[in-house]
Amino acid sequence: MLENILYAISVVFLWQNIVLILLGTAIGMVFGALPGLTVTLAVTLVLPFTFDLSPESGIVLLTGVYCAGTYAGSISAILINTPGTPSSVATAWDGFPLTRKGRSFEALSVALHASVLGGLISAVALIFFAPMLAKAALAFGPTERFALTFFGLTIISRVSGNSLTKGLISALFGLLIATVGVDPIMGVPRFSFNTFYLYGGVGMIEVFIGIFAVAEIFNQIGKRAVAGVLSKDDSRRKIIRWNAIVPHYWTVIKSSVIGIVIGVIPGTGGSIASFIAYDEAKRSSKEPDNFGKGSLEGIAASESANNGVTAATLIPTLTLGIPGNTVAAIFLGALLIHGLTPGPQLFENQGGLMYTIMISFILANVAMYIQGRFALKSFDKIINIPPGILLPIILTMCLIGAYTISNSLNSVIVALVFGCVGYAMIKFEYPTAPMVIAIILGGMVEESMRQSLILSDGSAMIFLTRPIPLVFFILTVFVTFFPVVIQQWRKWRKTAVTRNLKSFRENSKDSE
Amino acid sequence: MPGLGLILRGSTSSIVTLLVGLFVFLSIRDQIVVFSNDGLSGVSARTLPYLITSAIILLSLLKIVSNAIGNLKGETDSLEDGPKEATSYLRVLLAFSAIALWIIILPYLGYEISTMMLVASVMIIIGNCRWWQIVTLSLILSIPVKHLLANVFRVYLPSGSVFG
Repeated sequence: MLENILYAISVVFLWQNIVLILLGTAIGMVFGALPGLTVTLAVTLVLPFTFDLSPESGIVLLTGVYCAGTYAGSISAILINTPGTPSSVATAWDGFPLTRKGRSFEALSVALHASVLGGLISAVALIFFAPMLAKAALAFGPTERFALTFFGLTIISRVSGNSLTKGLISALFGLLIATVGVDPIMGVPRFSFNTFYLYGGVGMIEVFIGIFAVAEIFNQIGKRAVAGVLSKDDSRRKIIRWNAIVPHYWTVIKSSVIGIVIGVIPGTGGSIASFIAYDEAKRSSKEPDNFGKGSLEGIAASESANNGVTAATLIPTLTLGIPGNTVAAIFLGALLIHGLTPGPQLFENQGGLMYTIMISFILANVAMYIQGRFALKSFDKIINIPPGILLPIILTMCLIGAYTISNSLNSVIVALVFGCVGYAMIKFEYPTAPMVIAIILGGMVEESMRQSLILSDGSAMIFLTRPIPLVFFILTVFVTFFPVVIQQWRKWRKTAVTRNLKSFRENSKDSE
Repeated sequence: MPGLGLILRGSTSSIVTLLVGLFVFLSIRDQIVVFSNDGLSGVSARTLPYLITSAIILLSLLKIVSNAIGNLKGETDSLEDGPKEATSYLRVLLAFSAIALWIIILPYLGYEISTMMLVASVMIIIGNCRWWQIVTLSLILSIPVKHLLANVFRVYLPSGSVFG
């Protein structure tokens, strides 16, 4: 192992590989930060350039794009309330409120540090625990996946704001939107209204662009006092320091571990990891009321979790040949193109290359940090642009972003429709977070549930007779009802104390 | 006896969600074809949509009823009937129309011209912009952006059928 690690270090630190990793992180950052341009698209576009490179250099380039693209989704989420990637949705919940308060630089800084730490912890896990975690991931069948994604849905009750009913209605509409398209089991179209475009379902990125960005643009245009929408933030005076993340170190470690564990399970991904980590951070926080209103801890949790997924996703890809997500599938393709077949033998036959991949994740995160430090101040200046100029720029970026997803105007129409839906939700104070969570997780929940029921001939007992799903369901019940029980108990205790105090005073008066 | 309007005050959004839920519930039979072997897991392609829409209908009704009870008791819960801050819905409608028009004319006039028109119109709708700002930004967001996307990112935007 040590021999392989030393070989990997010697390869990764070749000057041409350092240049490639810097180039890859720069490309990833641009793609991740622009709404509509996804990490998957970036990795796909870069892939053909790796054909002429050695397998090591090719993988190094792809790693840079992947890590930086995943992180950069937080930039647009924080600054313009449009998550560049689905896994940055939870970052927008706290990032954009901070931008509105003029604290965008702090938010960007925490996001960068949390992302780098999450990515580094994930890379270390990949080096030391890859074969062990891969075996554990094999235990996750559809039933376990259903229990996990169902557990992910419980966050809805905590992001519903003041009205749980409105939150639930919002989530149900999200689940309904997730059912649009071809049925995952039987292949029949659902709610396609004879439109070919809807056979593939409603695209997530289009929905995010609509609900978050277009709706916010309508909201700002609708306000009579458009000037001064965002608080000014003088970034010139600020320096990025590691101590920005120090108060949240425990959240970062916990969230990174959540990201690694979820990343190892094929078919899950950064979105679930960031939701669960965000929820856990909120549950264990000393200031849970700040979540959703501009909590740096919330950003730290979401970002460290979604970057914690990055290297972990490659564990089942490299050890078992099962890609954890679309980017991992492209990595798998890259390995196959270079004549390498993923599986347990790959570690024995190509140990040097395997450790090169792992070490390149560490270098990619370091490169991402250096570039992020320089780029943050420029990104932060965006909010100092007058709204009359900024809003048309964001609108144009959103429309182009929506168009490029499928190279068709249908995606733009979807973004516009969801812009109207999002605007109505702002006006009637319906929370958008439950809808977005349900759209992301809805498809996975249904597919894994139905696969499980097929396995059990329609018996729901399958969910309660297996240990992993049982643990998740107990956790679901605990996480859902424990805060309610605690709240009721506190209320009851407060009433009891008040009653006792009152009777004590009355008794004192009587004795006087 | 209070009028229906007073009872339903603050329930506009719940009525809308109720109607949408009902519409989708009724359209499930037309929109989702079920084959004889579809229920092999005990759950067919229609099961989840039926469950979801039923829940939407029930929750919307619950919200309307709880609002109505609140209204009868004189507890006005909602902000729904009157937005807190002054909002110019005309501006929003104009911005929406500008985007809708962009979608319609894009295939004919191409990205450059339609985006120039969109950016200029949105800046005029927002106000507080000088004429040179409008011209400059319209030009920057149209021609250079198209070429940057095409040459660097390999993303090609429509050129428009009118101009070949």
